[in-house]
Amino acid sequence: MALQRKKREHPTGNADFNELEDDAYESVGFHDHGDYFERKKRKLQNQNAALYRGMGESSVSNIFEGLSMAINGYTNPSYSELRTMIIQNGGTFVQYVGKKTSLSFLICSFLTPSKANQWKHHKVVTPQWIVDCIRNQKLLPWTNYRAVHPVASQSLLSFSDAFKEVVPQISEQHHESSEVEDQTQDALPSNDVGQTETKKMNDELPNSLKFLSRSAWHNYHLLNTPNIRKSTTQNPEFLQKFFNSSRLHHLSTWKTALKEEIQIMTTSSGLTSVRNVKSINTKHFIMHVDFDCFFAAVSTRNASELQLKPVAVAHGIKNSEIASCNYEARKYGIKNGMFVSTAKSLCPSLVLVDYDFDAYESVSREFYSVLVDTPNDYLKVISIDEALLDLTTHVQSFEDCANIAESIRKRVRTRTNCDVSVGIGSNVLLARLALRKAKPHNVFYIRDEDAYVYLQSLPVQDLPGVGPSQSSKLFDLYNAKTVGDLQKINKHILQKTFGANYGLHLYNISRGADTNNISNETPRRSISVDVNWGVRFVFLEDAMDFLKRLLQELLNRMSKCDVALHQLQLRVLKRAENAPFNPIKYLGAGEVTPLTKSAMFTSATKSFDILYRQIVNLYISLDVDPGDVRGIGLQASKIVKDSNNEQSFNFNAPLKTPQKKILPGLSNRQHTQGQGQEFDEIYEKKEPSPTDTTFVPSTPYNLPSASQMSPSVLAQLPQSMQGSIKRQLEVQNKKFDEIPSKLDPLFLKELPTPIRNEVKEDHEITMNKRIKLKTHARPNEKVPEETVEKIQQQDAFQKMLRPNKKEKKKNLPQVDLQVLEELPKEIQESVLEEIKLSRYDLAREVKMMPNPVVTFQQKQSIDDLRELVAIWYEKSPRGPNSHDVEYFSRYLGRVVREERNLLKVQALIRWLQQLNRRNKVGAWQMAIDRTVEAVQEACLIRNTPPLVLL
Amino acid sequence: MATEDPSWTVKQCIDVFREFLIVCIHSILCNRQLYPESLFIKSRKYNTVVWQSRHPILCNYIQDAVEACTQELQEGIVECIYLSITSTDQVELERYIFSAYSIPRIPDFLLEKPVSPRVPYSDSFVESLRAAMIRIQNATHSLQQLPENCSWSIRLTLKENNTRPKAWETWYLSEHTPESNLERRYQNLTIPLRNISIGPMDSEIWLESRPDVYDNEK
Repeated sequence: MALQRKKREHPTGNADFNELEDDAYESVGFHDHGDYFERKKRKLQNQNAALYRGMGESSVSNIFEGLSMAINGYTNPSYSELRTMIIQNGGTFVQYVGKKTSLSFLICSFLTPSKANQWKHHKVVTPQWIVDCIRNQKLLPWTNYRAVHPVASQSLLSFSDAFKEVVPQISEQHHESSEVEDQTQDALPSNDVGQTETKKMNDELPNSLKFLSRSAWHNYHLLNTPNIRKSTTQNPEFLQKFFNSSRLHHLSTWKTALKEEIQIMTTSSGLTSVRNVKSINTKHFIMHVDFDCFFAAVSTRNASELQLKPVAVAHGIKNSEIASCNYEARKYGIKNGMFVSTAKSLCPSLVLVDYDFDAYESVSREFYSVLVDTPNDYLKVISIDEALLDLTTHVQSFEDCANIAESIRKRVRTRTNCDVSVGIGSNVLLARLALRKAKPHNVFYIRDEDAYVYLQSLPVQDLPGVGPSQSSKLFDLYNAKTVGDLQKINKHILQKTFGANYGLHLYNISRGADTNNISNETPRRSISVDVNWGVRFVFLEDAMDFLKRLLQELLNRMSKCDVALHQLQLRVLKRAENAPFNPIKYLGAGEVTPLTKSAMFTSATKSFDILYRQIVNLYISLDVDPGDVRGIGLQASKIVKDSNNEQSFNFNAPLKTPQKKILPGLSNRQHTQGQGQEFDEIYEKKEPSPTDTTFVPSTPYNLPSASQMSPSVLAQLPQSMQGSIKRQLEVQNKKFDEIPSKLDPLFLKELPTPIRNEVKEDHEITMNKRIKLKTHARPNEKVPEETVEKIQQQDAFQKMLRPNKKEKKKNLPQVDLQVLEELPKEIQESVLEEIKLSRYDLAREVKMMPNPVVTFQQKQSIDDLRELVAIWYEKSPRGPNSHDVEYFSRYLGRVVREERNLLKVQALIRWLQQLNRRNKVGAWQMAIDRTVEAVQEACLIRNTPPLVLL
Repeated sequence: MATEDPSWTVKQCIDVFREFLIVCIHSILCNRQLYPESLFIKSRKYNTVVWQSRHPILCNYIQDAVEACTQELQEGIVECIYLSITSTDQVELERYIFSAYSIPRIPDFLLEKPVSPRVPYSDSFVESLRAAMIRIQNATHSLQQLPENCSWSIRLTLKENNTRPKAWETWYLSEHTPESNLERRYQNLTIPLRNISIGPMDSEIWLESRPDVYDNEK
């Protein structure tokens, strides 16, 4: 404690001191570090003080008096020089910075980023400031010598010149990349456009840039480099390029194409026997054929010297994933999916080869032609380099299978110069497991009798469909590591922990049983387009523009499959909260949070306009900063075969009726909901007559009757909607007539009671409707329908022209004058007033009546007014001009009466009295009295007692 | 109520104002020692210390009185609400006035409509209430002590052309005749307190006291 007190007595280093008296020099004893350090600091201060006194008269100045400073890092002039300078000029030099706030300045040439961040709210100056201050013998404004410039954060952007400062730095980057750019420019003329766009952006945008978020700002800078810009979503040709170089995209498109081709090949070759419906008991022979490290093998197939070296296929040089590596490379521990840089560090001699998508395709074609030539029951395409063959009827034993497998291997080898491995088993699962064993370059088969034993030794995650989460769950709960452990677990327990389906699946596959039939093809359920590389936006418009292109791509794919969608899902990958602006993978997505939003459509659609409008809504509702978008995907789900082209679905309808051609197919039936479905049910419960089954409304809503619809509005709707609305109308109009008036009692009997009641009720309701309808005069059935429609439209149009008078009147309270007269006068008035109020105030807005603020020489705040009064007082020491006094008094009076701020008046008068207190100028006293008088008068007018002013 | 609509409505203003009135009345009654001090407890409101009555009857009375005022406030016919402290012989000694003339006269259904021009809802009004609260407390402390057995009441003055409150049956007519109003004008003194602004609403608060009566008592 004593120590601390003393410290306060000697706040600066140059204070007088006596070494002997200072307890900092007492023997230290056993104290903690804090105590030791405190003493050290004090001793250093004393040294500095000694230095200052040592200067004696030569101590140059005291310009830094009261300022404490510390030095950090390398400086020029040097540390000791600076220290002397500070001390000589009366400053306090701090060796060890305890609290930042106790320090006036930190002197440094450069601060590390983390320190700069720590010190960003403090005064950090360059050594030049000290030098210049001493040279000029006065304290110069330190802001000109800032060592730490405020980060280019949002707050800075509002200054227009701050923006100018940043731009030159970017243009330097431009120069660096311009060389590369020149080469590409000839090849891609579109680049020119991109460049001018960027330039235009530079000139025009500073205003709009102010509103950008930091991430968008970062993207803006990033995209300023034309080369980068070209490879992001900003390039109009981005999508095409992206999908051309995406291996995943290629794989999936190949797969669908291959499937179709195989279908054609197998039927044309005639080799495949018709798939017999075989009893389940027959033993199957399934063969799983797979290339060994397909991409790597194909890329090196013509370069034998490479085949013995570690080879990997990848896009880039550093931060891209390895798609495939050969077995040579795997020896080094390289795996598929690894980053190239990691792989390189594992094996420096790794040879990188680029994708060769054309070669993959041709090799794959050869491969499949070999398979098709092999006699088989069924050929299933798994992917470009993988296939399943069902050989059941063509072989007798596993040995036969192995022979066929060897012949396949040989033929593929000769035709493609690549190796395949073959696994054989009695079902898909076992074939797959055998394949794993067969790799590389071999054939392996698992007999059923061996399967159980073979499985036992496998680790659980080797089973297909068992991922890391399931295997860890198995280990945690049951200590099951191998399939053998898994086999011991009871089926019910598995089903309890993993759910009925998956539990059963686990139980089965652990015993080598696979219920999946090889020929079970699940129909395609969704189509999607996803982009998660190179997505960089600055403005909302960029995102919209890209969404437009993405939707176009989706629609292209949908039209290839000839489908329309019921549900559209938008997926946005948003940069994770703490993820850096630049992910490790160049223009990659980095760490992201996925966001999804979807929209349902009542009828299947593939119209660009409808979908785009919906997408924009979805995107906006996600509310993501455009700068944070790292990936966008669109998914069409609940897809149905486009009904317009698929008449064959309409098997119940007599095809030649022109009316029915435009009807949606039956496939739509399951998607109709709500009221439409009600009718459906009714139909289905009755014996279907050939006419009524086809009337399935595509819009589930009950439309108003035709007479209520505006033909002009109808005409403006898109063609498809017009059609559906008309159809719906027809359906609605017809329905009631077509419903049989009596329910079949036999049919009713068969229904369970609650449903029967429902049906009865429904029937009653529809019958009631029908009766009501009948009361209207319906146009003769024989009139051609077109003319009927026209008549109805005209009716509707005329109704539109007549404004609905009743509705307008509703807003006015109806006042019966006779009743009004009988009322007492007061109430009469108030009623009338209320009417007036409701008549006018409905439109008028609510307005408060705040006190108007009276200004005095454009000043209104009390501080400004005080200042003004003080100047007035100072400028006229002998007393004020009487006009001024009048003017001021009038103002105060208005404040009392109009602004109604008594406190302000009181404060101002007190202020005047205060000003005059020292000199007691008589003329001023009179002026004050005059203002007081004016104020009290105003108070009386306002009906308030006089103000207390003293 | 406020969180849903980001703009001020008249109703919101009145709600805030009503609450402020209640808090003020509690504190004034305590500081002027109209009731034994032990009836009150310290509490925190508007980020400052206020006094709150512990007596349920008193609490309910204040609540009801202000509630009745609020109904009139919503009509937009009230000019001022004031708390008046009277001596045993019905002489008004002090009057704490809260003006309410900025509340417009509007039909019921517009009470919830945002005030135009729109004033975005913010908490800044609390600052002005806090300042006013502190000033009221200071002013009440600096006044001379009241004589014994004073009473108090809450009263309204209406805007021009309004002769009586809407729910006039429930109100008692003030015992102050216009003559005493004149008397008040010459005998009382006005001590300005502080104006408050609740969003778009302004309210002037001042205190009128009658110094001569205290002197007489002494």
